[in-house]
Amino acid sequence: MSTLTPARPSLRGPARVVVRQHRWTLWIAGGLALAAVIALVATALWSAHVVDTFESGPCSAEGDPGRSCYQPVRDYLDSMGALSGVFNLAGLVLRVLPVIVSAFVAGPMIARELESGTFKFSWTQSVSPARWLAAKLAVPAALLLAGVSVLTAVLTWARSYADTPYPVQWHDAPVFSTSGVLPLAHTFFGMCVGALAGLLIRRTLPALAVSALVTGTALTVLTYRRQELWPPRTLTGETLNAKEGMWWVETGDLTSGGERLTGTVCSQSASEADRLQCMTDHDITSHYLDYHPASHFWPLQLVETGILLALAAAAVAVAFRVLRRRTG
Amino acid sequence: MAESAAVEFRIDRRSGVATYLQIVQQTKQALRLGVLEPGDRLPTAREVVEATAINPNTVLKAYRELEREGLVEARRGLGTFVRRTLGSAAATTDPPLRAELTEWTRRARAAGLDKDDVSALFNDVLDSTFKGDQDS
Amino acid sequence: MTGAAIEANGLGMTYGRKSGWALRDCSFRLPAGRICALVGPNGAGKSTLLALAAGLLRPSEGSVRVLGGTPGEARPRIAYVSQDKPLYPQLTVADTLWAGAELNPGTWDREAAARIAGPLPQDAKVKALSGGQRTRLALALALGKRPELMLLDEPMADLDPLARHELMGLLMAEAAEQSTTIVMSSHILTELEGSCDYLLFVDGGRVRLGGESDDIVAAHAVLTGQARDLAPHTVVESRTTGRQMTALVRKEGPVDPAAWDVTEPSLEELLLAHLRSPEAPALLTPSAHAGQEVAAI
Repeated sequence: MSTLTPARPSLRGPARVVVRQHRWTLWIAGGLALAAVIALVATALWSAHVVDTFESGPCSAEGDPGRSCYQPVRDYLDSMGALSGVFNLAGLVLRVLPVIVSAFVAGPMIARELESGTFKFSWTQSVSPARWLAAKLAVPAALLLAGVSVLTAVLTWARSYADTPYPVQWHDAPVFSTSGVLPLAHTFFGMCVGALAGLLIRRTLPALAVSALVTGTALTVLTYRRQELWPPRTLTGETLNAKEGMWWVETGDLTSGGERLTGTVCSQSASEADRLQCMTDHDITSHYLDYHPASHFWPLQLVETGILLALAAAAVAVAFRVLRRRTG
Repeated sequence: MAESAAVEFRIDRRSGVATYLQIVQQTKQALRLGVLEPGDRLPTAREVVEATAINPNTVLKAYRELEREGLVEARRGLGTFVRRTLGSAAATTDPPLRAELTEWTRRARAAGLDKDDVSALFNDVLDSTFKGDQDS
Repeated sequence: MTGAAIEANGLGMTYGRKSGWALRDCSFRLPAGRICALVGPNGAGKSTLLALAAGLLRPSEGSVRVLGGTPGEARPRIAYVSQDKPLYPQLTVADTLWAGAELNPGTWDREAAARIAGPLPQDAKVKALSGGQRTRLALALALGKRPELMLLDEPMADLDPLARHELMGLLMAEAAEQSTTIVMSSHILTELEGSCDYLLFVDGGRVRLGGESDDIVAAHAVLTGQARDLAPHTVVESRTTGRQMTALVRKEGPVDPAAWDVTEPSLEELLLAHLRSPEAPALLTPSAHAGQEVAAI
C-alpha cells in the first residue's frame, strides 16, 4: 500500500522536535553564553586599558613603591585583582557546566520523557527508540561543541590580559580545566553520563541528582590525580633551579645511594646547624623535584581527554544497548 | 463524478435486525417512496460510515445484497447506482390481496385470537414462507 | 486482504517477579482489514498487548509479528495511541501537528490530520487542553500517518457521546477508504459493538475468544428448558431454578428443538457469561488461529 517509505530515516526530524521542545532553555543558554562572551571581551579590553594607563605612568608595581606611588600601585593591584576575578568567575562557570549539562540531559531531556510517557509520542510517530536517543544526544552535542569551543577560546584569550601583575599559571586547576580541549571533553562526558543515567533511572529528579553527582565526582577525581597522567621530568641537585611555569608534582630529598625520601624531613629544624646535622643523619646529599614543564600541557590534556571520551563512549554504548533490550 | 443521492440511513442497534439488513430495507423503502430513482448513486461506504459509525464491511455487504436482488449495480471506480425501481408499487395496494387479508384477520379475531396472537401467527408464516429467500 | 495484521505466538509479558504475568501464552491471528474490538476486564492485559504490538515493549516470552515483520520494522506503518494520549505538554496544537509532519517525513498527510484537529484552538498549549481535546489531537496524529494498522487503547474514554460518534465515524471512514486494520480496546463493549466485525476477548492475560464477531455469536446459543444433560454441547454457563435450566452453550451439533427453546445470545451476554465462568475453554475461529498462511478472502 504505502510505497512512500522515506529514503533513509534521518535525524533531522527528531532533532528539530527536540529543539522545539526545549526552545526556552536553549534560548536562555544561548543568551547567557553571548553575555559571557561580551563580558569577557569587555573585561579583557578594560584590563588592557588599565595596564597601559599604569605602565605609562611613573610608578611601577615591582619593588618598593615609595610614598608617592603607594596608593596608585595599590589601586592598580586592586583593579587587576578585580578584573581577573571576572575571568575566574567565567572559568568557574565553565567548570560547573559539565555537571549542569549532565543534570539537564539526564533529567528534563530523557528521564522526564520516560517518567511522563511522552516518549511514546516519538516512538509511535515512526521514530525508533534508537533514533530518539541519538537525536537527544546529537542536538546538545552539536550546540555544546560550538558553544564551549567559543567560550574556551574567548576565555583563554581574555585571560592573557590578566597576566600582569600576577601571571596566570597554566597548571592551576582552574586554568588547566578551562583551557585546551578539556572543557569540551568534560562537557561531552557529562552529557553521556546524563544520557545513561536518565535511561536507567527513568525518574526526573533522581536521574538529575545521580547524574550530577557521578559527573562531579569523576571530574573532581581526575582533577586531583591529573599529574599522574603523564610521566614527569625530574630535576636533581643540591639546590634546585625551579623555573617559572614548572608544575611541581613531588619534591623531596635524595640519599647518597639515590633513595628517595618524600617530604622534607629536615626543613623543620630549629637552626641551620641542626638542619645540616639532620641531613648528615639521614644521609641526604641532594634533593629532587618531579615536575611537568609547560611542554607537557598538551600530553596531559590529551590523555585526560582520551580517558573521558572512552568513558563517554562506553556510557553511550551501554545506553543504546539498554534501550534495545527493553523495546521490541 | 456524480454526487451521491441524499439518502440517510438510520441504524437502530437495539432492534435485533442485522445492521446490513436495515440498510437493505431502508434502501428499498427509499426506492418505494421515490426518494431514490434509477440512475441515482448510492452513498459511498465512506459517506455512510462517517455518518453512522458502523463497520464499512456492513455497508458493502448490504450493497452486495441489493446487487444480488438486481436493484443496484456496482460500476468500478464510479460507485453503486440504482438500476430499477421496486417493481410494482401497486402490489402493496393490490385490492384482491388486501381483501383476502382483511377477511382472514376478521376470522382469526372471531376465533378468539387477540392482536398479538394474530401478529405472531402472521410473522411466523411470513418467516417460513420467505425463509428460502433470505438464506442464500 | 491477505495476510495477518497481527500474529502472536505464545506471547507472554511480565513486569517483574512481584507483579506476575500481564499476558501469558497468548496466541491469535488478526487478519488484515478488520476492525477489531479488544475487550476484557480491567487489568486483563489489553494495554500490554497493544504496547507489545506497537513495539514499545519486548515480550518476556513468545513472539508477535506485525504486518509481516517485527513491531520495530513496522513502526512507520503502525499508529498507536495509548491510554494517556502522550503529547508534549509545552507544545501548542499547531506545534504538535508540525512535529507529526517532521517525524513522519514522506508519509504525513496534512489534510487528514487537519480535518480532525481543525476544531481545536491551534495556539493552545497541550497542557491546557481538556481530555476530549487531547484525544482528538492524538487521533489526528495517528490518522495523519496514514497507517496500515491502528492500535487504540481506550480511545473513546474521554469523549462525550457527540464527539464519540463523530470520531468513530471518522475512524470508520478512514478504514473504508484505506482498508486500515483497527484494533480498539475498551472495557465497555457496547460502544464498540456497531463498528467492530472482529473480536478479541482477553481475560486474565489469555485470549479466550477470538474471531469474527458474527461467527463467535453464531457458535453459541442460549438454551432454556427442563434441567437435563446438555451433552454434546460445551457449557459455558448454566443456571437452574427449580425445574427450569437456562444455559449458554457452545453448539457442537444440532440442538433438539423439542427439548430446548433456543435463542441467540447478544455479544454482551456472551462476554458476561465467559467472565463469570473462567474455566470455559477458549474459542478461536479458524481465521484467528496463529501460525497459518491464509489465502485471499
